[in-house]
Amino acid sequence: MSIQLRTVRTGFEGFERILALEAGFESSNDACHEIDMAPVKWLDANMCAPLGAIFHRQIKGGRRIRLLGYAGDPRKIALKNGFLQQFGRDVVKDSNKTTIQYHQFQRQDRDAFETYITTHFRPRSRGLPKMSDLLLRKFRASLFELYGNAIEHSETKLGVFACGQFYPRAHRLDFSIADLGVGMREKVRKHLGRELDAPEAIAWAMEGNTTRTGGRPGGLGLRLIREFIKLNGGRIIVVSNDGYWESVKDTLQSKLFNRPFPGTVVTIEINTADKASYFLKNEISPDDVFK
Amino acid sequence: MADHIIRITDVVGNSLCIASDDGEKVHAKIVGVIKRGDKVQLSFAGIQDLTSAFLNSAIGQLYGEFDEQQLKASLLPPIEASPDDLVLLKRVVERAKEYFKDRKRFDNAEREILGDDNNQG
Repeated sequence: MSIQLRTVRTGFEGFERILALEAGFESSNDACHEIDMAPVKWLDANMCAPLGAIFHRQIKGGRRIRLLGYAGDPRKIALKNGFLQQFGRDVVKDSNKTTIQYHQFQRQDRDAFETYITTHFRPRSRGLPKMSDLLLRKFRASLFELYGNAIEHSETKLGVFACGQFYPRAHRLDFSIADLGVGMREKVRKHLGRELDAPEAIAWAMEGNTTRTGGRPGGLGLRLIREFIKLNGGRIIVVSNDGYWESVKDTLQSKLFNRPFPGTVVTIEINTADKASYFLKNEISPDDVFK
Repeated sequence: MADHIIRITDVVGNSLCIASDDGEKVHAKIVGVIKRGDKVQLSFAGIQDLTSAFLNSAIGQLYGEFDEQQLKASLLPPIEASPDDLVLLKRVVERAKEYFKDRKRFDNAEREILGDDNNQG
């Protein structure tokens, strides 16, 4: 019996639909999960990261996945960003240069992730606002940190899944990174020795707290990105276990899902209509102001 | 070409550089100096609060009145500014450059459209 997926957009409802699919997998004994993709009229390409993660979990568990009725724009974009490579489809050239390729990384792939980020986040590419060279370097470093967190904090052995997309008409650039680890609630519980619900655990981590011990700085690596996104008018979404946490400008929103995501997904949404230039506070010299 | 230091709080009369009206007073001083062919150095000493609205009217609008090259030559690096002041000022200057560059484009586009209408009329 096939399981249906519907349109998936970045946000609470989109994740709910991915979680419904995951629940369908879990309640089925079929050796091959058939997914009816026909009702998918749109799939935000960055959401291929959490989708790929839950597919991978099933495949690792010895199941197969078949996509039925996958057509139109959602299929086109999944061919361009390489998501359908795992189903034996060749990657179609992205001549508009709007995709950030779907990719699965393993623990030892740190260098590959660094190359991936450096290749896709280039000055002014994919609608990226104007940033100083130093800020762009720090911004990328924060994304490496996210990868490090996904690998180390989550204690996952199933890798990290990343994907992004520039939506020129909607003026946004979305990038999602997903892992299949223990999730923030468990990690924070171990560290603090008390129970927080999932949104509280995410909020705790997003305030720059860390469960990592040792000499290295921790936190989610998101402090700089959070500050940038706030000025830029973008959005950050973190999904971990059954928690949903979203930050837009000065507004924080957190909710609970009916069922958990088996890991953590961090999504960064950049407002590409933003014409401002960004630089780090300490890199401005009075001599540069009117240059 | 003489250098003139304009202490912003002296022009405004207090340490709160918030309202665009007060920014206008600073703007008028700067314009006076530039038109004389002299150079301006802004002093941020004693500023308690500073807003982008204030800086837009004091400095941002200069980019709609003078050529960017001329402003580069006439505006000396600011003095006694905190890192936060510099961040705000830099942001205002960058936005003003973008805005007035775009405005010229918009004006040209508008002229073309109006020109077409006139021809048809």
